[in-house]
Amino acid sequence: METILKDINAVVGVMGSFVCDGEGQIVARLMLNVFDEDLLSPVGRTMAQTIAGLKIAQRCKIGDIDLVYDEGRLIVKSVDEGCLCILCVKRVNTPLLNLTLNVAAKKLEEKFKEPEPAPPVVEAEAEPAPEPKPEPEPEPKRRMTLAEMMASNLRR
Amino acid sequence: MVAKRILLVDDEPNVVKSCARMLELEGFAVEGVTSGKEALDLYRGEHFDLVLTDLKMPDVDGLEVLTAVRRLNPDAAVVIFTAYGTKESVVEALRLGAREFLEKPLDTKTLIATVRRILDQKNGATVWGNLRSMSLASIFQINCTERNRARLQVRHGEQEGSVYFADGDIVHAEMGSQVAEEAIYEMLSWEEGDFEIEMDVPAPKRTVTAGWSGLLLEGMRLLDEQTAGLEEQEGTETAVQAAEEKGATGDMIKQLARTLKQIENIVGVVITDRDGIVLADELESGNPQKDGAIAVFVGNAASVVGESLALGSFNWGTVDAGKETMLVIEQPDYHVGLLLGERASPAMVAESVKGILGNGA
Repeated sequence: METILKDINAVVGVMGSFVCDGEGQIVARLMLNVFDEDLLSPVGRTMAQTIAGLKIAQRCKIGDIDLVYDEGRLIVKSVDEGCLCILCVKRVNTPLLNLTLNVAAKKLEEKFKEPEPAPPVVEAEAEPAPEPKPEPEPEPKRRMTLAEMMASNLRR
Repeated sequence: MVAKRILLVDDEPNVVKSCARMLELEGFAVEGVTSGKEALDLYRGEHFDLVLTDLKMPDVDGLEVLTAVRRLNPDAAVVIFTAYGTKESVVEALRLGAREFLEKPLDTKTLIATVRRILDQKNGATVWGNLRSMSLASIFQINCTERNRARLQVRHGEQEGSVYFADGDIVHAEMGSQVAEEAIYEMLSWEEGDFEIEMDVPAPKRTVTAGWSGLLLEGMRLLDEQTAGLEEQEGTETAVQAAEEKGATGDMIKQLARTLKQIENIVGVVITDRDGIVLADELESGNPQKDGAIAVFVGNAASVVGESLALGSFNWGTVDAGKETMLVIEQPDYHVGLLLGERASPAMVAESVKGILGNGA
């Protein structure tokens, strides 16, 4: 799965990606170090539950969910029983990203269907995001924004 | 009323002094000591409602205090604080039964709020209310997303039901002879009644294995079917009609839905309150309740994701389901779900809609 995630992260504007199973457990991730298991787990769980709930409500296959925020964007692709989550900049080139995601989704579906147990969680540095804006050191006890997390990681 | 007793342990005398003063001003009785050994000696001989301990201390450290105290009293409430917390120590402390992990320097408000909350839970204090002010769907959602371990008891006329929460899900439900999903679906139809939520109550057994969100949506779908059947037989008012009768606000929301429908590439509009109740819709086909539930569902997921990943304010979201794409925009009091035409650009439509919503909607 690492290779699939590397292909996705190579798209300009993508900051990292991860894959969850149907229960929302993260089975593979290729993200900046600051996005650890504690941060990603609620996201995986929420998105898995959302997709499961929407499937029941719509009684059909759910495609992409795209959530756009002031400081970033999360694109979630329903893959077999799980989902592929891509964290990117707000103005990512979505047509270009979708081309890569469609190929990646097919590969992931094949991986999910494989009988062997899922490979261990992949932890690696993601490609540096484009246009990083250096930010001052975060104040103690305040939660870092996405930009601050990226800047902090890049300074290491 | 007897003041709650707190045992405070920190190897820095100044921290003990200042924290003890803070807590005493709030009406607690505080016994402050500067070593883990002193704390354990004291705990063996006296009753305390709560133990606050530093993690890093010479000789007996915070984890050892926690372990020993919990061995003496498995129900003991212990809060650990430290300036040197690592992920491993947090996990270990929580595994050993610590209630909270606070970072030093201690913030007065956080400390007092934490102490009050834990003591309230320990006293078995309940949150209570009326279903008119908070729907069961909202109560389920809050307890699951907050990952509370709790028991919800609901009384609806002569009927009474219980729902247990743990680990971010509903784990057990019972209502008369009904259990699990059957009981949940029945209770979701109750619009009136009283409820009580008691924190930290374990479930007697596990009868529910499905995820809470799927249960809620299925419950709402069944409710829709029941409502539709009643409407056919008795001409019952729909939720939209009921909302309209609320007066000016209902009319304004209805007008807003009509206005949004005029925007190019929008083929359907549904506006719901934060509980998923449909306030207005402009749909040519489909089910307003179902589309409204999707809008609320995506909006709520967006809140969790934004908070977890520190992505800032949620602007808009889309979900592709079958041949339809729904654009979801969140407002302080309601969610807007917009069904888009095939060639619509969600970003451009979102901009147009936000322009209207920002102009007094």
